[in-house]
Amino acid sequence: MATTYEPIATQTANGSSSFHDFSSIPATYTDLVIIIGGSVGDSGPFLRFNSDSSALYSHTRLFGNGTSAGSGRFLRGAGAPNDTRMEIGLGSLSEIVTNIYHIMNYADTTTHKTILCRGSQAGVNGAYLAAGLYGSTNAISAIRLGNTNSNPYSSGTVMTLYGIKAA
Amino acid sequence: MANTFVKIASATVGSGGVASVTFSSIPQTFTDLKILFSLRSPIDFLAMNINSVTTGYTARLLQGNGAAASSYQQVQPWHANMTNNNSFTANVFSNGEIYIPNYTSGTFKSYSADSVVENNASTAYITIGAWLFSNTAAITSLMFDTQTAVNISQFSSITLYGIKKN
Repeated sequence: MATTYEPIATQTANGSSSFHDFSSIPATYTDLVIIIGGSVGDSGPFLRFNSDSSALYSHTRLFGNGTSAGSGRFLRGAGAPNDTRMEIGLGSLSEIVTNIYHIMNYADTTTHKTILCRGSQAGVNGAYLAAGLYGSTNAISAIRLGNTNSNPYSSGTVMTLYGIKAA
Repeated sequence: MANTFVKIASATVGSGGVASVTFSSIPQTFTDLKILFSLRSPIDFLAMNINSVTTGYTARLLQGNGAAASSYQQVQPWHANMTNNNSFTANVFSNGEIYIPNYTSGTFKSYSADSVVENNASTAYITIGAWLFSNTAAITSLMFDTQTAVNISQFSSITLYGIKKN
């Protein structure tokens, strides 16, 4: 049977890099999945696609921190930096998080791109869901991972990019 | 290329139900673990004990019941409303997923646990949880039960998958 859930690339943070890039992503899959386990170094983890810092990013989020439930949204046109990258997921300076991103139909050149995020941070921020939209019809060939203040991911944090094939 | 999303083990509950389902001697050759479950029980609690350890668990959960969203904290390895109980529509099972990244690492284990409990009535549940197991041991066993003397019901199933990063 052909492999349909394949690791494309993996990185382990060295504790000093402000960004982590996946580049030259093959266009041969249907969807992408990014799994991040460890500490992402700060709040406001984000994804930026194809080095594109245009105001094309928006998302809606739902979260529960163990005390209350809440929801929020960043609109396109909300102004930099909010709409110049996909700022979804959970993070803090040192706490361990699990962030899982699904990027649907990433290689399609006729539609905008939907991104789903599931974040878990038991220490503070709690459970988190988000749906994001990258308003470009360009295929995604590169993804940068970073955070609000460009702090490095903690050493040992693992980031893996998987490709999923529809058939 | 070797398979990188592999079923490690699976259990389907037989007649009379079972007190628990255990996956032991989990191979240490994967990167992450993923558990998919479909469950029913006379009680709606679901517990997952890691390596037979009953302490060191914390969680923050978000839950919706069809009328309101709420959030909870937990310091035990279980939570309510994760399993269809006998007061809910007959023959309906919950569905859920648990994802544990880096399960062999020598750090604490952060994992997510999500469940939907459907019911042909005004109350049903969606629960998502952020869990932390404050223990640095690699995960070698997982045990699922209702945290009570009540069995997991017949036809419930739990499957353990391993995911490799390379």
